[in-house]
Amino acid sequence: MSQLISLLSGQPVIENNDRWQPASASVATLPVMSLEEWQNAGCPGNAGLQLQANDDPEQLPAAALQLPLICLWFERFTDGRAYSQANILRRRMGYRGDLRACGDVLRDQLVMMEQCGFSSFLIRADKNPQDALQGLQRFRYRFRSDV
Amino acid sequence: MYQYNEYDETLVLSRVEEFRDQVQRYLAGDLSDEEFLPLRLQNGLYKQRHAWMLRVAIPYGTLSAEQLRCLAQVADRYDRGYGHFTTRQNIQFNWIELTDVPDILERLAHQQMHAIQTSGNCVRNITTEAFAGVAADEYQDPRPYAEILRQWATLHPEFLFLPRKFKIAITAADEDRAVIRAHDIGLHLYEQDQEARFRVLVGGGLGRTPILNQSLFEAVHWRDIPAAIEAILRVYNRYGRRDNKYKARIKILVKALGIDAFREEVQQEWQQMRNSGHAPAISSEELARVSVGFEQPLPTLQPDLEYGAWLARDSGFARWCRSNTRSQKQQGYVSVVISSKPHPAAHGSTDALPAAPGDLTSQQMRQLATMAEDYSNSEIRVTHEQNLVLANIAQRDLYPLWQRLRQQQLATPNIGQLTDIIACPGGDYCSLANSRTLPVTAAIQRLFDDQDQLDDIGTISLNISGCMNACGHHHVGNIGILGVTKQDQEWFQVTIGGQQGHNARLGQIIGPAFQADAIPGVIQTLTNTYRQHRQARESFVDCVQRLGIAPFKNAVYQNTGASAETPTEANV
Repeated sequence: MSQLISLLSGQPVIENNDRWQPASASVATLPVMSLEEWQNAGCPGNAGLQLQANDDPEQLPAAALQLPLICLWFERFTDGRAYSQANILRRRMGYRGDLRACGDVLRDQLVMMEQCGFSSFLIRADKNPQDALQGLQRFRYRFRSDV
Repeated sequence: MYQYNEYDETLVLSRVEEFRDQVQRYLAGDLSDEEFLPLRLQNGLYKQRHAWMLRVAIPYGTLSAEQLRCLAQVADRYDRGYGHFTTRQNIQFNWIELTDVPDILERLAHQQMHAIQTSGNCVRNITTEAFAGVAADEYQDPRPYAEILRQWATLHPEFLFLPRKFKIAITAADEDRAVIRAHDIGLHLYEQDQEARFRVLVGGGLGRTPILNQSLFEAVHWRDIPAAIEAILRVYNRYGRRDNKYKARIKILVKALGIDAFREEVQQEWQQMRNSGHAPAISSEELARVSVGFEQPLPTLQPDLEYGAWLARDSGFARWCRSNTRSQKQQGYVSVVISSKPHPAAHGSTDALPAAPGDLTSQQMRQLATMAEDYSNSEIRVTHEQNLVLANIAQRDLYPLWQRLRQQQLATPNIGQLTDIIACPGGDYCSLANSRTLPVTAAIQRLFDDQDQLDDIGTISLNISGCMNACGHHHVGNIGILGVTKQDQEWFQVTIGGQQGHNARLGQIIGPAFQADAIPGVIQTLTNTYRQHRQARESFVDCVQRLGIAPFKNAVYQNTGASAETPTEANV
């Protein structure tokens, strides 16, 4: 079963047709590349970009904002740096593509991720994605952003 | 009091249901200890030495009478009939069953209370001083800002997994009674050009590396304060250390970069926020909406003739008025400080489990709630010294109030005195502590039970922490005591000269540590030395400041040399 949850018209669903694969995979139709791989490949427009938690979104070349997919990496679910990266990409830089949470991605943090602008969630391999769906379905309290 | 609107209510209740679900999944084995840890911490739940501890938020230390009754119910029904008020104006219940926690939180939610973010690596309860809104030296009530920031920080999705905990305190008074200099962010609200402005101090904290915060911005307009804090938090979230828990507080980042470079980072971030149109700002309407709850028009008082008569008639009452009441900016009204630190004998305190400073029984809470309704606009405040305050008391009500407080053992006249000790719960409860602070506290209180002697020693603060984490704020106590372990034995290290306030200072260690039973004698020697050397009306801490620690140190080690030991390196 797919580990990927996507938002479809604002509703979370399990996405069974994930077209993205790591660039190293043999059948990489749509490759996801690290920043270095992407730059070495000449910044192709049809790639997905995998950032690390200490990458600075504001230092990215302008072409990155046109990419269909940017993945942010949670080394551990308690490492909150990707929330700030997401916020900066979405709100400040106006990134409109798919913003994906990868790594230690667990059900109980999905609400926060969604509110920071993530649009898809690759649930950690040992967790049941069906179960994780409930993290976005049952409790959807919203943060009061309008001070 | 601020009243929840529909949004606040929905948020708090859905949070309770979410946690109910998380507890069930934890008990069913679907959540590991590691996964459950931050979830429970962000709902105020700790594992202590003997049981679960639940820390309930008391935003900026203000409670209604109904809320205090609700806390009393929780103490009776789910705990052992008492609660513990903390130095950050919250309350802790020490003997909680995990399975009861969702029900407790639901009960609290119905009284507009919660335990959200009372722990965890997130923005904690935003504190202020207990005399907010009534202090004579205050510019304006800082609590509307504290409430707006509470709402802003509550479940802010970007800042729930910071490198480490994050504490904010606000004061609007000339004298700082909220220890703002020891906070990650300290805010000082003041007036400039007829506008409210904030001095923003950043990078303070006690713990293993005690540091007082430094000025980041001198004059932030009130409407921009959430933006300033957001910029600080974003810089911290992105660049604060995550490799070592003991180096993860913002104070370490500020120290590593230097305050000027840190300021540049924050200014740059803030500029980006403005450029993109995403800098949060407080609107005048929002400030007005929130402020309404804190405005308490008081009736003009008739001249009171009884108060003066009772002062003359009853010396016990007069003494209590001297030490436990404070004048207010509202003429004719006073604030009463209720000591949670009676003589140990009055507390039913035992050696096996001594009562802690900050402990109140459910009966005391209920009685106090009724007194607040009768005399004090149904409002109770918690001080960072772990006492309680009833504000807006008409002078003529002081005598009957004092009598009722006495019946509940809540009229100990020791506010600001040596026995008004701040202490963490220590090894009797806390699994981090490496020493028992409560027996030491009780022993000091027993030795200094002569009220005239306490009056003569005058204003002095004594703070006791059971370990390096410094929950008893020993660094900023005029006398600080820190529990350390050496060869499986408890030792106590003594500092003097610490001070809170705008001119906060960290205390200096006087020398090798002592065993518990020597501590009361050490305190006696320190205070005797002060009484010998003081000039005119000089306080203990001013005397230490003038003379340095040498005369105190010499006196102590002359008297008690034998029981002192050199602390190990790890303990320094």
